[in-house]
Amino acid sequence: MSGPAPASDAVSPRLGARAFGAHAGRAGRGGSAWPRRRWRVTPLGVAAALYFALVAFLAVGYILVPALRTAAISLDGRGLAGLATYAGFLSDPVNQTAVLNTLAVGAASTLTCAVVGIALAVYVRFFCTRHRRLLQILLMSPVMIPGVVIVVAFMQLYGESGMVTRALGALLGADRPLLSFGGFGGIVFVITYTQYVYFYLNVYTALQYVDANVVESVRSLGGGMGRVVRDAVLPVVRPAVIVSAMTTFVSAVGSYSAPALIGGTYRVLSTQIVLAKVNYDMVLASVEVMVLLAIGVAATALCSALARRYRVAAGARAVYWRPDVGRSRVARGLFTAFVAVQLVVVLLPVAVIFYLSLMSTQSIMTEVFPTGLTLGNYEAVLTNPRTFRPLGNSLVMALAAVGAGLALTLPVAYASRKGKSLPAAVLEGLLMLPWCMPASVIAIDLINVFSGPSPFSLGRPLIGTFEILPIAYAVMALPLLLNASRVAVGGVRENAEEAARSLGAGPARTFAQVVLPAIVPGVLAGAILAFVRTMGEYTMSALLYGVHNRPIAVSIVTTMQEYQIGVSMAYGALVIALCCVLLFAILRLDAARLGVEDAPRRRRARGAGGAKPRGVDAPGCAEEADEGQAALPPEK
Amino acid sequence: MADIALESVTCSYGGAPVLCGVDLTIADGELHTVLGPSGCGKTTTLRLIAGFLRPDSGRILMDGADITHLPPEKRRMGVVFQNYALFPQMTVAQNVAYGLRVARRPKADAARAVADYLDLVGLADLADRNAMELSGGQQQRVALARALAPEPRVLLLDEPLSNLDAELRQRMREEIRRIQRQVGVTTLFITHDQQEALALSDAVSVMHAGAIAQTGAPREVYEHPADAFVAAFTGEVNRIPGAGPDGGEALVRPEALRLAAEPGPRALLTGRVAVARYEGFATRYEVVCEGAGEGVAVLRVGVLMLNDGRSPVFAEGDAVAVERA
Repeated sequence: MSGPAPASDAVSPRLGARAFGAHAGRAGRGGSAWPRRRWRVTPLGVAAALYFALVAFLAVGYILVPALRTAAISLDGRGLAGLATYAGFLSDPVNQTAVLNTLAVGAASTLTCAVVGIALAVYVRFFCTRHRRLLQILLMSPVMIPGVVIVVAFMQLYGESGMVTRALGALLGADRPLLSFGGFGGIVFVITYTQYVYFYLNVYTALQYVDANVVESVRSLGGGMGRVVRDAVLPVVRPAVIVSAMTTFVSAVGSYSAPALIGGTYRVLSTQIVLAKVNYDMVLASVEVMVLLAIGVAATALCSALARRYRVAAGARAVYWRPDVGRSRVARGLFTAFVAVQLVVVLLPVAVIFYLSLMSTQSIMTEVFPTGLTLGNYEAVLTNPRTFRPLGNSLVMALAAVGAGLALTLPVAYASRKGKSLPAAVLEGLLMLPWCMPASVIAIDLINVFSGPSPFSLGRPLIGTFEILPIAYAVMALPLLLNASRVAVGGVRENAEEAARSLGAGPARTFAQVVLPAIVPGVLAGAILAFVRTMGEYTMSALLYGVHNRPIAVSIVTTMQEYQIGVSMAYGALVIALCCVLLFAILRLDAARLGVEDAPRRRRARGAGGAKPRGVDAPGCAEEADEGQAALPPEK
Repeated sequence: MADIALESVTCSYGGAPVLCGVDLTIADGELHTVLGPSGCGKTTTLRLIAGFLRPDSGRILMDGADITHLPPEKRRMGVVFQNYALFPQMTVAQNVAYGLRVARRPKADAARAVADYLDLVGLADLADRNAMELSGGQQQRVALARALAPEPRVLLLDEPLSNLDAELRQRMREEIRRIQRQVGVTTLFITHDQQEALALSDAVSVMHAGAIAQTGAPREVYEHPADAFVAAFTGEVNRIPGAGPDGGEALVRPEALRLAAEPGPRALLTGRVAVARYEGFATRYEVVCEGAGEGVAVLRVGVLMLNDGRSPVFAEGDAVAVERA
């Protein structure tokens, strides 16, 4: 967060530095350490130092060491001579195909996501006149619905025996399926309609920063609409496009559920990684992990460089631009139709899941449009302890993961609220590392370290235990939670803590009465988002689950593959219902936060003036988008 | 109420010294202004007194007791921040009541105090509004009431008017003065606005590069600045070589000079009117004087003469003599 420069006349070390004892000094931004001689040993300081040491220990043990271990294993334990394993890997045509396919899926999905996301953003921003808020919520829904559920729903719609496929077949009297949903096209289709949200959200937000005064300046200087787009709109939107492209690409190259479930024989790196792991070839798996990671990191680095190059600062008093677009009825009609189609494609899977969850499996298997309402599937899931267990497992594991993640990230975010010291920066960097790690990478990293005893797990292997999945989920959730916490902590009014102190409140009371009320909505919104992501996480779940902790995402897929489609759909419906309740909660929280938001400070921080109609609903994350960062981390 | 003393206080930040030996005494009940440019250390001084910072060396005394290491919540000092720092989740009344609540003042007592202080700042009818719905000036008053309600021993104001527009600023300035007199609380006021400082204060300390350059009553500081910096920062000033008491440089305000057609016995310089600007109540002249002293080729002197009907009027290009008024 690039907050406002302190308005006070001198850069001043701030209150509270001492409270964190040995956790070095962080003072105003850009500053260096608090002078050593002023450290005082206080109980709070000692506790804080111990706590941060623990966070560092865990971050090193569960993020850094596993990543390094994977790198070492990929070299086959032979140091640099092991680079031969990479040469061998890349000379095999099968692997070449996998790498090229991965890149192709990434590039194609990014392109299609860009088209869909940008079109939707432009429509909602400029053309939509009624029900805008509802439309926004519906368009944002893929964020809140686990990807694997949507993949399964797409299979029920467009798969070989899917409803749409069979309906088309029956309609046209063809004897073989007319739609071939799978392979490259299928993967890209699924990724597009689960991941367009980054483009949509970021571009929508960016469009709000197009300054009407700049547009009018272009016009008054003789520029036409083309000039306006080129000189007034593009510079503002470009950073959002770059960042969205990065997030989408990283997410697409790492995606597993789509290629695994509908890719058929189409190989990509993530499916190859799982294959290698299943075959106990950890060297190959590690090499593939390193290649996948390299692709992700390279894309991230490239886009970050581009984003820096095209960075823009919003004008001091931006006025929101609303172009006059009502003139061409034809264009408007076509655009509306296009958006309606998108909306149907986005919402159809959800509808189908609820529909099929109310049908008996037998009816689903035999009829194009199953009939005969039944609650049998729900009964099976909720009353049979064995079928209920995956749901219970996932709830417990997601809660544990998010709780642990919050406990690790919130204190770190709070401690560096007034600028950070070097150790704090390193710690935050460690906690952000999983941001660029696809889920399969995290899972293989953990397997490489914790399949045997490790000092970080107090000497006992973790693979096969219940804990390993919550740990993996927590690792994946750390960047999202840390970001949400940072944004929330950054939203505490400048000097509010000091005001409370000067009015007689001690540090604990100040935190409880001034800091906490301000950060709870943002932190909670981030936590809910992380919870939903965890509930639906499929890749790591598939790689790490065991008899003790089979999660719901795995059960959704396996029950479907075992032709208990009704049960699978009931699982999916329950997960979606839970997510909808939580989405609603986030919207409420966000509204609550907007009500108390400290507008002047935020406005200064963003460099944009004037009250801004805020888009829904990147809970706890929208601020990030403004600053050229992805609002949401890539979904794994 | 209390008096405050800083004794050779130093404070550094990230290795760079911010305060290098500040001595400052604020007498009981006075309104004391620290005036200085950005970066001179005036806000750091306030934060040290409030307890948000601790000095590298030196002592801070309140009523003679060393409070250097006392945490802020034990000091009973009311602070008004530049950005007001109201609690956004509380109403106006809850904001004002906060300090009383922390001090566990009986409810009825506290309610009365809140009403009194809201009355004092003229916001009695907005008590139940959310603090964030108010205008800048109103938020400013809430912040003031919140700081005063717990009856602090010292009131600290950190550039409280800098976020207000010019007119409101003027009004709030008067208001703060009135309230401070009424309550009688020892007050430290930080500003970079010399007019504000001179108009408001019992005493002014001009700060420069981490040290106090001069302390005194506003009139004393303005009319007898200790050095060129104080002179220039408190208003316009001419530096006239050779006119000082011991033949050195004299620091003379434009309004302390006047123009005459003929050089008389009190003439300091002669020159030509380069600019004559009519400003209604007065006319401002800029006179170019040549050969004003050794090593000075051309000296531009500013002169301000009231349009009181008795002073002579000059036009650009006129040859004039500059003398002390």
